[in-house]
Amino acid sequence: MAPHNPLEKVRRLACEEEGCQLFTPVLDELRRRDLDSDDLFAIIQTELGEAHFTKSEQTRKHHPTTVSDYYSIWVDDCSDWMFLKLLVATASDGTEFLVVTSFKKDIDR
Amino acid sequence: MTLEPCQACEEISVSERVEPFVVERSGKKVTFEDRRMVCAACGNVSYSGSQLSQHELAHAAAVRELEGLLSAEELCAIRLKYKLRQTDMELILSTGPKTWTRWERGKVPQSKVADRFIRALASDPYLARRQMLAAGIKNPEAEEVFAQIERDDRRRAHATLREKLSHRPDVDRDGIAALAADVAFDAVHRAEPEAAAA
Repeated sequence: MAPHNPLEKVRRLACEEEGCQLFTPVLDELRRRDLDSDDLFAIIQTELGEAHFTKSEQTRKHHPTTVSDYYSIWVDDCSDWMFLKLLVATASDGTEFLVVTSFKKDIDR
Repeated sequence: MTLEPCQACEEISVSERVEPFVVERSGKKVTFEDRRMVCAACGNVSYSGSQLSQHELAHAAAVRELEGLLSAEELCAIRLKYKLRQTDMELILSTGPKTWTRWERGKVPQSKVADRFIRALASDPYLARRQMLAAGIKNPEAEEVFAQIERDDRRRAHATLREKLSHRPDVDRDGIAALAADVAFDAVHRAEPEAAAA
């Protein structure tokens, strides 16, 4: 099964900070691991693949218009399997942007 | 004000806010103005576009200020003073790949231990050269910088000794040796503050 949000689009959005949004816990986790948002975007652009995809689910709390993709990926800089949850949303002006809602140690691995 | 949909709760309640953000270390605090997206319905906070870098840079700068660490610009200046590459610094400091790059990018502060060692490297070019060689780094540009520093120090020691001898035309061999030792000792101990100021 392929991710709901095509990886090609996700990688393209991750190339530009302007096309991205991160939830606070994602930034907190990056900081705990001495990483920054550029590192996360680089992981998405160059390392994330369909092999890391685990499932797609309608975004929690009933949001009707977006579907979140779940990934589990080994990140050298973290020395851990990391859980990554993302979606592509549309702003009120019609532009699409990447939202990373979760990035944390994958405790199921 | 345009409200955006919240990706956490689906309400059309997200707007940009500028609010104080407090960073605390060892009982001391630094506050900066933080631009972020806040959902009025569920309180979810996120950072979009340029807010991301602004937040990360301001946070790291606050940590550096609280812990008395070198700034990202100072790290860059120290490295360039010796014409070392970012990868060279990572080898010298035995850090992981891209670590120095992150520190120079400014969004991640270096540790206190690393900061102390970097300051030592900055103030002592001979320590920096020894560490470069010990790490097996081949960097002809840096080697030339270190060689020039050594040539300058030798010239300075030579000139100082000549100047001292000129005031004592009748000095014997033991006297010359004593003067040479004084000059050499001074040169070694003067190198630290001068290198730090460079």
